[in-house]
Amino acid sequence: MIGLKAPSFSRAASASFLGLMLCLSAPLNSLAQDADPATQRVSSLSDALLDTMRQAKELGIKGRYDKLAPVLAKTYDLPLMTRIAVGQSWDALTQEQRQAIVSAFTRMTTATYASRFDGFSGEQFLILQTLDQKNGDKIVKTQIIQSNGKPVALSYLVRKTGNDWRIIDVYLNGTISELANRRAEFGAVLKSSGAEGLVGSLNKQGDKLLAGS
Amino acid sequence: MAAVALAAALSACAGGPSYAPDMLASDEPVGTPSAAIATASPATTEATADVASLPGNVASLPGDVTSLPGDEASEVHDPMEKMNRSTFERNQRFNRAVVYPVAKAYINTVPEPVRNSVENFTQNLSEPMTFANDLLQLRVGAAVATLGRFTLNSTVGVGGLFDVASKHDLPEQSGDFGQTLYVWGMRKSPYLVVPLIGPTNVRDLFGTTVDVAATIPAGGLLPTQYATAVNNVSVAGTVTTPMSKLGEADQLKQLEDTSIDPYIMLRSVVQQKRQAELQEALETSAWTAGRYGTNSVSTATLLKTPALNTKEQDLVPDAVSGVQ
Repeated sequence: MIGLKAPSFSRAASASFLGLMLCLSAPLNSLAQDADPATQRVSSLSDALLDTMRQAKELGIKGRYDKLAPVLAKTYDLPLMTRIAVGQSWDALTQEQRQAIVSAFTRMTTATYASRFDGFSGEQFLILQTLDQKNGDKIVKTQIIQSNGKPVALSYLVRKTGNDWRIIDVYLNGTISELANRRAEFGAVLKSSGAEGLVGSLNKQGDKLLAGS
Repeated sequence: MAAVALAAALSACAGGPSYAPDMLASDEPVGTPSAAIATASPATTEATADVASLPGNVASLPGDVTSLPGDEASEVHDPMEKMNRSTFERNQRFNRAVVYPVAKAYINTVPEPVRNSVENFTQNLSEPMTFANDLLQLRVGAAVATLGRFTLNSTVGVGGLFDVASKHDLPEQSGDFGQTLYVWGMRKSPYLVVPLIGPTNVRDLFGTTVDVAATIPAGGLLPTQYATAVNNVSVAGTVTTPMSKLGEADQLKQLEDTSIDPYIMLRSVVQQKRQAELQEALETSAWTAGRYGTNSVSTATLLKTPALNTKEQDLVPDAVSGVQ
C-alpha cells in the first residue's frame, strides 16, 4: 500500500510544484496560448496591439499601419468578413469587384486600428473565458482595462479555416457586433451607389484615417 | 418634431400593451452581465446558447449566399429614414460645431475623478426610477440590486459621488419605462432621431417622457428630473449621444471617423445595444422569463443576436433568434 501511495504522492507533488512554477513564471496570456488555439489567436492580437501602443508615438500612423497590417491579415479572416458584410449581393459581383472590396475593407480596417491605437497609458488586455459554439466556432471573451480602471468588454468570434483559427467578428460590450454594423453599412452603400461606390467610400475613409483627420 | 413623435407614441399606446398571460411563469434568473464574465482565468466551456453561430462554413455554401445572424439592415424598423437622416445630419453639424469642442475642453480641463463623480451622482439620482421600472417589469433581482446600489452609493458613496456598489458586485441595472412597455408587449417601434438628443425610437421616447414626468410629484427636484432624462436617454440606446454624456462624445466622433455611412452605423449600434437591454428584460422578467428566459447565462448579456429574416433563418438552423 505504502509502495503504491508514495509514487502517487510524489507525482501529485511534482505536478503541483510544476503547476505552481508555471503560474509564477508565465504571464496570463502565455497560459492562454497553451490552452486553446482560438484563445491563442486573440492573445497574439492583444500582444501586438500593446506593443504597437507602446511604440505609437515613434511609429506614427504610417508606422503603426505597416506594423499592424501583417498581424491583422493573419488574425482576421478579412475576405470572409467582407463577404458576409456584403451579403447576398456578393453573388452578383465580378471577381474584380469582390477583390477590390476586400482590399479596400482590409485597408480601412487596418487604418482604423492604426488610428485608434495611438498611445499607451497603462491599458491592460485580459482574456476571461473561451466558449465553444455548437458549429465549432469559439467565442473568446476579453476585457480591456482602461487607464482609469474601467473595463470595456470585447468578445471575439473565432472560426477554424483550414488549419488556422481566425477572428471573424468582434462584439463590443459583449453585444454589439462589428460585422452586423458593417453589414448594415455595406448594404446601404451598395444599394445607393453600387460596388464602385462602396470601394470609393472605403478608400476615402481609409485615406482620411491615414491622414490623421 | 418631438411633438409629432409623441403623438405617434400616444396613438401607438392607445392600442394598449398586451399583458403577458403567463405571469409569474418562472423564477427570475440571477445571472448578471458581470456574473457571466466573472471568471478571471481563461477557461474553455460549452456555451449554454449558440448565440453567434454563422452558417457552417460560409466559403463552402453552394449558393455562395453569405448570411449573418443579426442582419441588422433588414431588422431595423425605420420608416421615417428620410426625416431621421436629415435630423441626424443637423445633429452632427451641431456636434461638430459645439459639442465636440465643449466635450474636448471638458475632458481636458476637468480632472477624471471629478468627471467620474459627476457621472456617478447623475446615475445615482436616476436609480429610484430604475428601481420602479424593474418592479413594473417584475424583475426582482434587478430591483433588489438597484435598491442595494442606491442605498450603498447614497451613504458609503457620499451621496452618490462614488460608485462603491459596482465594486461590491452590484453592477448598474437597466430599467426604464420604454423597456417596461416592451416587456408589457409593445415590441416593435419605429426608429427615431430626435433633434439634439439623438437616436431612440418612438416607444422609448414616450417612455423617457413618462419617466421624467413621474419624478415631478416624487420630489420635483430639477436635478432628479435631469438625471432621469440623462439616464433614460442614454439607456434608450444612445450609447453615443453627446448631449447626455459629454465624456462619451469622443465615441461618437470615433464612430463617425471609421464609418462609411455614419447614420446607418449609429443606427446599427444603437439598435443592437438597445435590443440587448430589451432582451435582458424579457429573459429576467417573471412575466416573460418562462417564454424567453430559459438560459442561466442570458443570451442578451452574453452576445446579442437579433432576429434573422425569414430567408436567412433557413441557413442558420442553430442560431438563437431574437424575439420580435
